[in-house]
Amino acid sequence: MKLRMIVLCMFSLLPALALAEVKTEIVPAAQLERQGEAAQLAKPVKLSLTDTSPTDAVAAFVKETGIALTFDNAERQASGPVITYDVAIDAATLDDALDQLGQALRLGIYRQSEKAFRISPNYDVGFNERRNNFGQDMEGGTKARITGIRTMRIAGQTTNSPGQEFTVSIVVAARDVMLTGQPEVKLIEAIDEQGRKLEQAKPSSTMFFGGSNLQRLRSTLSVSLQLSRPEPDPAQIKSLKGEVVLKNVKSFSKTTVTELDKQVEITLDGVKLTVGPLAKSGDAWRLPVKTPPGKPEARGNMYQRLNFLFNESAQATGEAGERLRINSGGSSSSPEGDEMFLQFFSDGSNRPASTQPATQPATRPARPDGIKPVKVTWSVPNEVEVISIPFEAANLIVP
Amino acid sequence: MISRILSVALLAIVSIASAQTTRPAGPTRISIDLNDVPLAEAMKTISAETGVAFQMSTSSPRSGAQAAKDIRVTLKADNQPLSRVVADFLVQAKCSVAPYREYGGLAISPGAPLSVIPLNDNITLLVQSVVVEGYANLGRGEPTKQYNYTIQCAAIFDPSMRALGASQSANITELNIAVPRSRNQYGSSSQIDQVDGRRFAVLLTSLRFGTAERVTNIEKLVASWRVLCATEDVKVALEAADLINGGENGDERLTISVPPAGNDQRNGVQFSLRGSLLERFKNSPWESIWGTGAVRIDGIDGGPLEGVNANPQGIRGKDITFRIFDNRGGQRNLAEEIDRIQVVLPTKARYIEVPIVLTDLKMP
Repeated sequence: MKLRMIVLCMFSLLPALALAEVKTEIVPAAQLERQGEAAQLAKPVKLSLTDTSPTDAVAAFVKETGIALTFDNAERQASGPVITYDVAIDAATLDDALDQLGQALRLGIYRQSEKAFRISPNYDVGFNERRNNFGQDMEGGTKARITGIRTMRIAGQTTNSPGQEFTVSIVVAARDVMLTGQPEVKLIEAIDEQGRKLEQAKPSSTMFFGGSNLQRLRSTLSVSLQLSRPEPDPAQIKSLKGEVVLKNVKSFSKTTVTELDKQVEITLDGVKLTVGPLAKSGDAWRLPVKTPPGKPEARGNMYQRLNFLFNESAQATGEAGERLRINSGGSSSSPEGDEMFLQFFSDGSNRPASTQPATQPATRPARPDGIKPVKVTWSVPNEVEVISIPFEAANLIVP
Repeated sequence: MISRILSVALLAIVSIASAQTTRPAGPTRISIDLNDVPLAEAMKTISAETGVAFQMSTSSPRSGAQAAKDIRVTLKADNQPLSRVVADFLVQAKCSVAPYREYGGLAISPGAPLSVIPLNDNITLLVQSVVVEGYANLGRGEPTKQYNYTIQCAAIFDPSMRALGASQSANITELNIAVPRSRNQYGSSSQIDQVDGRRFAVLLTSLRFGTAERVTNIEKLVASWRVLCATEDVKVALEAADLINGGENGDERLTISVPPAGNDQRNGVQFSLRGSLLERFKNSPWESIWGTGAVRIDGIDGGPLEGVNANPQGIRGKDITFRIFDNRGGQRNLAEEIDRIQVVLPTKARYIEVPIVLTDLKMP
């Protein structure tokens, strides 16, 4: 049985401010756009290098393929002794070539955008397409399914937790849910094969979205339920019942600020903010956004997540109508309020100079800094519904 | 009575202010006799004898501090390889070990290793823990089980290995267990931590594999571990008269210099480094590079001068000035005690494959 409850966020129904450069409208969540999945390139690549450094190998690869391949920490590659490798690449596609390069250098590579890739020892070795579960079978409407049980046993000295619980993995299928906040898993009843009642050991956790505040759920969502582990270990969970609770955004309040050269007041998620004026600092345009003074708890959700000002919910447009990316250009906090500076970059080369690729193809145009934004739009939840999705299973084996 | 025999030089054989490729030498041999001494005292003695920095781990300071008082150590070694003596000490002290990153030495914490395996005279492996993660796949189709085993190990290295880093896990090539190994690879990782010129006396690695049924014993496991070792160094040094009268040595890559010694040496002795090579080490933790083999200060007896540290006083561009001082706060005339200051920085490194063999290991 599915329980639905509509919660209206009254604070976001405030009328649009009577300023020409600020416009607020309510839009259905389904209208929010997402970037499409990157297309795969297919191009044969041959390369043979001996006793070469990773930096030189990547530079040669970039020259050969024309892609942008960036070290996550380029400074690290330029420090310490030069570690040398032999690199031989003979690949029919760029994906294979990237994988061979990663294997040869014992580094991991992932796709940042269609033609931009990042390389680091912090990823699994080889070419890792950014893993997500978009596109999984979403037929059958909204439902939750138990997919596994995890245990941990330890001998010796370790920093891991003692492993006195086991974890039930649950996958939730909910098409076109615009998820806000943290999903919650509630245990109703769990009984093992010996008739013992198992308790919920820890608050539930989300494995998929992490700390994200707002996410279009086009795929399954993984959550988990921690259960206490009695001695001796149970061999089975005879019966298990519970529910997953999600908050779904039905509509957004979309606030658009133009004429950024002026200072204007807007209200986002119930918090009044002062935006502007836009100013140029070095190569980049910076837009200050200030919260009101007072105790942090009085500043509403905006204080908790100032990152909201430049994440997916924010959009900026340049003078030629192009979409710009927004990054944090620093922030400060004081009793007079918090202040964050937003910086604007062209989409695709949105990073500040310190993290720019160390190696770029010769044909790549210079980074088009200094693009002036003419419009910034923020979308915050307006109408939110609470969805409760039950799950139930019997005779689950415990590993 | 404690005596020390260093059968090889602690540092690689490279000529002053020159770079050349060398092969690992070793092992360093140690003789030691500790009879029922507190752990804290044993750590000091072992540190003095081996030249390796020890400290109690700060991850559990209370239990570490208590262990330093409560645990007593008895240890005898006669001309044994350094890595084996250190491993025996850890077994006696019932302690596990991790890299003491600030000084390239050992951070120890209560918790006895599960077993000790000498890999060769230069490397001794400690099996420190085993973690088994079980997973029942209850998705579509018949339920299946998967068990992922992680055997956490620490390896003690002889200084002659010039170990700069290692892969976080080793590649298992042979595994004899009672159940089939899972087709689902629970493989190795070649990631290494930052390489910044420090050499390590201990590095961690793990051995990982998966099975479809629970295993209680490993009959035999063979693996290959990638360890990054310096193959080429640049070394600069100043000796005796230069330390009194002032002098410099090196080339455009790395030069060491000292000003003429003044009358008052109570504030320590200064030396400076400059050169193009420092650009590659600009992010190195110079404040804690002491004790890692990168900076060595010898007394007139030819051995490392005890009770002194070298701290950076200022870093201006490619110039770094260090002050050598008495780390016990004493009023020593260090200019008279120091016979040689030597700085060694790795310029090239290469991975070596270290074979690991474990037999008859119990699983939780």
